[in-house]
Amino acid sequence: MSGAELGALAHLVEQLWAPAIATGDLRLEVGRGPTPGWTDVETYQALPSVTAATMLLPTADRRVLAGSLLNFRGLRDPRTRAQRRVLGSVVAGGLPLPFPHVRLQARSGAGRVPLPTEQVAVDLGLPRVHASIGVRTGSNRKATLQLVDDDGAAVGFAKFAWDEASTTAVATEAAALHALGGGVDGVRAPRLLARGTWLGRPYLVTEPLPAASRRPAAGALPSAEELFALCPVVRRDLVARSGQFQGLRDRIDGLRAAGVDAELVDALDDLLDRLADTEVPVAARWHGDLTAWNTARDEQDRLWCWDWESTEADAVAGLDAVHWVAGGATMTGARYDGALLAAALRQAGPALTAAGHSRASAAVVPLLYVASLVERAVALAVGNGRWDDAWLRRDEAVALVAHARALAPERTGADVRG
Amino acid sequence: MSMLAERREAAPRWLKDVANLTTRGYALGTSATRPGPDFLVVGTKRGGTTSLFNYLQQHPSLLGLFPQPRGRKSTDHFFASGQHSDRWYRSHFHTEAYRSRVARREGERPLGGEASPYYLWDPRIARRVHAAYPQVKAIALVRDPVERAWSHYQERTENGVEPLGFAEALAAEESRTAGELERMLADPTYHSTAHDWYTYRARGVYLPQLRNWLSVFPADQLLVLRSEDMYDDVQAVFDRICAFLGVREYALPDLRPRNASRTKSSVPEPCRRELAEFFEPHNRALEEFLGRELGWTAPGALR
Repeated sequence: MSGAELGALAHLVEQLWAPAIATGDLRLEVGRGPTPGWTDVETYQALPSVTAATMLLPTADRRVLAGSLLNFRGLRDPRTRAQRRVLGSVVAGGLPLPFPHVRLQARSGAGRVPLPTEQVAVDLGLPRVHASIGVRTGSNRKATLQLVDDDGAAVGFAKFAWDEASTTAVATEAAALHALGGGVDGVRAPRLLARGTWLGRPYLVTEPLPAASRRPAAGALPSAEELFALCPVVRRDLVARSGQFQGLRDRIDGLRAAGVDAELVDALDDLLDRLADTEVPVAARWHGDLTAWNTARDEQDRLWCWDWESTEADAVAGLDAVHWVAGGATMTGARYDGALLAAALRQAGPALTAAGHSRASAAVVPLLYVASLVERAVALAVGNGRWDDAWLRRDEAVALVAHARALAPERTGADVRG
Repeated sequence: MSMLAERREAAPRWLKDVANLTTRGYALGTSATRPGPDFLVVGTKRGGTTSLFNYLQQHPSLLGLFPQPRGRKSTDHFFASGQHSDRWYRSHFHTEAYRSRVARREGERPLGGEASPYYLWDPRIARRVHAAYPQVKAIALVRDPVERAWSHYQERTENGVEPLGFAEALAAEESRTAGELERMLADPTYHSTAHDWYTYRARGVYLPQLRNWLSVFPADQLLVLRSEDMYDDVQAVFDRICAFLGVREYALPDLRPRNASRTKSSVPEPCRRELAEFFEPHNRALEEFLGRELGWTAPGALR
């Protein structure tokens, strides 16, 4: 089928099944049952339709479908929860769901490559796993698979890389999860169950969250103890000597060398110079995308943090607290600007003090956050050939960096290049 | 907690809210008949103020905050962030009519007060208290500052606001609180949580705090007690307090401490030694001021 006919589903084909389809022994069919010479090996239903698909549900028995629909209800927004409840009732009643079928078919009799789910099942030591697959079309897209066993019980969560950016993300996350080893008593990170390569594409599998997990309120910044449980403060040092800052500096130097957006890159460079010689508490790492959407609380009220693909080691303490407030607000419609930064500093302030910041050094954290955020946006724009305006427009980025430079300490003229 | 307080605790939230609104409304409506505090327990944090306030309330002539069954020990009224009126503050103390009934029963006028370990520590509060209630008597408990610092740190940890280890937290105290005191003195409405929460070391330097209180109150309106004396012999210390406040002696029926740290552990080395060295000159100055030995952790002392 052509990409145009597949619509949103074309993204998933590209992100997940493309290398298997490229062997010629597998194909994707929409609607049609098996034709001579081809056998169904996996079938899904596209919700709500093929061209506008946001999710593929595995076509399997009632328990698998119910599990795929109803596991982790507490993490969904109220509307999705209600939709899933209705679909779950339909499934429980033994009625078919009214969605189009998507079929992965194999050439009859041919020795074929294993499918992603088959490879993961081997990793997990299970005869089979069934995946409900998120269809992602944004700039940070990759295939994510919620895995259940034959009884519909959650057995894991898998991420497959497909391009350079997602390969880096999966490698970063796998390394972080391995280092975290499941986290500590009060704050957990899902354990890494498996990592590997499927037809040249890296993937990882993590343990499922506790069944009763619920999403925390976006406004409820975790306690200081929680924020720094997995990202402990390890020393005091100059901003310039933190690993995260040095990585940021290197990437910005790389953007300049590549001739990318000189105006913005020069402004970022100047901002880094202004922040470099402030003394700050430095944490072992920052999560990099800690928001209510990437966290949950279990029945014991323990915090679970996942999606560590943006984590960076040796970072100025408190970046996550600022991101929780500012990034969280943008998820509910706010735009990045000076007022949002001020609000983030106000709300994250107690956590920054807890980390050991003075009032003066705490003020530097949202400014370093701006530099990190804008560098990410520029890098994404380079990778995708366009700015992700839904997240941060270029004019907003320019204004944000200008605002941060105005707030930053005066340059001391010291040698701040590490 | 009294049986009545326990029953209240078990009541549904909505019922508590209604009860709170009702009692607060009644108290505000009758605040003209309510005098302010006769006494304040002003500190030190982690020095036994909660236990002491509990002991005080056992005395039939020493009244806690209205309504008594709620068991509150403080209004925080004198905090910089306190936005409430004097009328609101007085609504927390018992009416003269109630006091007259108690006086007829007990043969002496009952006294009312509250306890806030922050009152001694915020240097602005003594003046605020004096401006409103110049006759108030204050009780300050002072505890071995090494043990106090460790207990304070443990309490902050239990509260989820202390992510640093003890040594790191002591090292971070200066940066955490940098400029906070200046800002407090410049802005009467500024309440600094950092100055309250993270002053493990500074808060154990008691003499400047006591001198600050005595810069506005006469010496006979401040009783300084050693926390360890209260832990060792509650009744003896309580008798001294009764004499200071001018109420009859009373045998306490319940000598159990309150609000002690859930974790019991000794101050870790090398912090204990470092703190002992830091506090030694401050403790010596305090001993000289109080005219007694305090027997607190000394450098090199084996405990």
